Amino acid sequence: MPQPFGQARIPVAAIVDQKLVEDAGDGYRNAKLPRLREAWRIGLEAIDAEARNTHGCHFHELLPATQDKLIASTKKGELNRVEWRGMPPHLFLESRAMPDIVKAYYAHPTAWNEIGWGGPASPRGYVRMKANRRDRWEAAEAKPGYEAKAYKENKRVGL
Amino acid sequence: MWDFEARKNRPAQDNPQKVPRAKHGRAPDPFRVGGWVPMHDYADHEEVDFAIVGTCAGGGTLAAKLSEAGFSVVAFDVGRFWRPLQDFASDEHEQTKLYWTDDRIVDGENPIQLGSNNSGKSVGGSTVHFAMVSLRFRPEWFKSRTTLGYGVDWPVDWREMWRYYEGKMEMAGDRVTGIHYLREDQWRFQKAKNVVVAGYAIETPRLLLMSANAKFPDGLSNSSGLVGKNLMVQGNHDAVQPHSGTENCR
Repeated sequence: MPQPFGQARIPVAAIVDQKLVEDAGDGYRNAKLPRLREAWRIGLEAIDAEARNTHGCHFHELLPATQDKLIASTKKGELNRVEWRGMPPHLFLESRAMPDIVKAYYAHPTAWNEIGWGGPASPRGYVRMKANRRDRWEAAEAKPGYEAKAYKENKRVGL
Repeated sequence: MWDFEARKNRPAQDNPQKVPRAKHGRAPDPFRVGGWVPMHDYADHEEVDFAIVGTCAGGGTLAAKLSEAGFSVVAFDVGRFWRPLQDFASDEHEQTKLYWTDDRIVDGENPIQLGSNNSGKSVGGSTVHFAMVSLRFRPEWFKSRTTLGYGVDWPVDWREMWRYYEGKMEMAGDRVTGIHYLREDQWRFQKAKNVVVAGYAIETPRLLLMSANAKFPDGLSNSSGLVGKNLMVQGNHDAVQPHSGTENCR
């Protein structure tokens, strides 16, 4: 997953791997997808097989733009190599890989900083509930043209 | 921080994932760190007035109202009795311990897209983690296919549902005599005059459908044949879309 320059990298693969180690399900599963671990194992193997077959190198050796294109064909359902073992590629992408990766990314406090979110409110809860009010631990929004003002206000956040 | 201190000073054996907290005539007070509230214990062989399966917004509210009215009530849930003020770090990943993550299969022509947080696994059910949004259904939403062009029309009118918002409840008599339940690795049976099934739109139909027998071949409370059909949950949308590019290797 592409990450912005200038911020600490979020260990997305490690967080997803942790989920696989724990075999932590989601509470629901599409009948056409195998269980968590098997879906990831088949999906990664199949995408790599597609890369080797079409481009002659592993997926991680492809240029980012080519990786994107391969992922896009996965989504469009254009792939049908035997390595998919009957698992619908678009379903793997939409219902397994993307939710796991996006959730891993946005469960990390670095990503919360990136989008200006103060994190879960528990256990303290929200106190200032009215429009345009924020609790003292919530960051001010950096509206275009007013970044310096937000920067100054945010120096007090969390103190 | 105060909550860190509470966590640090918590007795080692007070872990709801290992030992049930609601025992010996008391239950945790969710509003006070380390606090307790009195709770009436009933033996399994005592026939209580109501056994309620599920303690979320439906079952929990009903248990409180019936107890206040003087009935003997035992409420059941599959999860732990959390102390929200001290059991959770302010962290999304850590809080997933609240979710019902058992493998439940979605299938059919239009498999429903659920979320891990559609069901909570705790005493209090999803009210322990719900997003505090509980909108009243608008009149036109009951006829969404006709008036708005999406979804399906409900078989009930908003006026029929309105009285439920006012807190009125009607009980349908069941022919059950109690509940088999598992606690601390042991199967038990609680005798009860009435059993209320209040386990969300997934576990309630599951229990009712599994109750099928010679007399009720489609399961209890299913003369309409609609139990477990037409389930709708809140919508989820993809946040990220992949892009196309050109070919090449590094």
